[in-house]
Amino acid sequence: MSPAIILAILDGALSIVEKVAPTIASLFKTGQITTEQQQAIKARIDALYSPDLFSGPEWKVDE
Amino acid sequence: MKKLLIPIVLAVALCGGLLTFTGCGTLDPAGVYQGDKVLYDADMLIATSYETVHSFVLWEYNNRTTLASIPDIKKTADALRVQYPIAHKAALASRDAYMTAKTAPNATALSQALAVLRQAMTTASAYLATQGTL
Repeated sequence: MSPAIILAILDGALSIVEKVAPTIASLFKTGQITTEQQQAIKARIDALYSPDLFSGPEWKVDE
Repeated sequence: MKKLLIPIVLAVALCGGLLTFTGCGTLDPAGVYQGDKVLYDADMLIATSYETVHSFVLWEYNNRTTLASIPDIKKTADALRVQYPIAHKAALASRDAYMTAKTAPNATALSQALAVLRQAMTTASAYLATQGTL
């Protein structure tokens, strides 16, 4: 496997770790989830109702 | 190669964690979820799965030339590009139905919709693991 491909895969894996790690950390959090933390999740979900969510070029299937 | 595997294994392990875990904490009842942990956990999973799958398809898009020698990556990304938006919208619809009426059938439907998102998230991260061991 070429170094460029290895770097590209590494980059992809890191980007996913970056996205998922905070959620996992919050899952292991014990105690009360504050109103601010709840608001943060609510803001994330509200943004996902956008009609433009899948309109970026990265979502297009090129034949 | 071992250094390369660390973030890849982490990515898969973290996504795998989301397959089985729900949060340990309790909700402050004064918050926007009013103590509804099912809805809070659902929202967290919907948001995280979108961000994970989006990272994957964006990564494939940005590295398409480099990754051209591994056509399965584009094939997997293209499958997610078609399937994930449908699953995402279905999950939001199930979420809304559950919010409107917190019945057992609606809770089951939400759970089933979330399972599809979990699978997509696992596909995106597991694919990197497979390729990383080549």
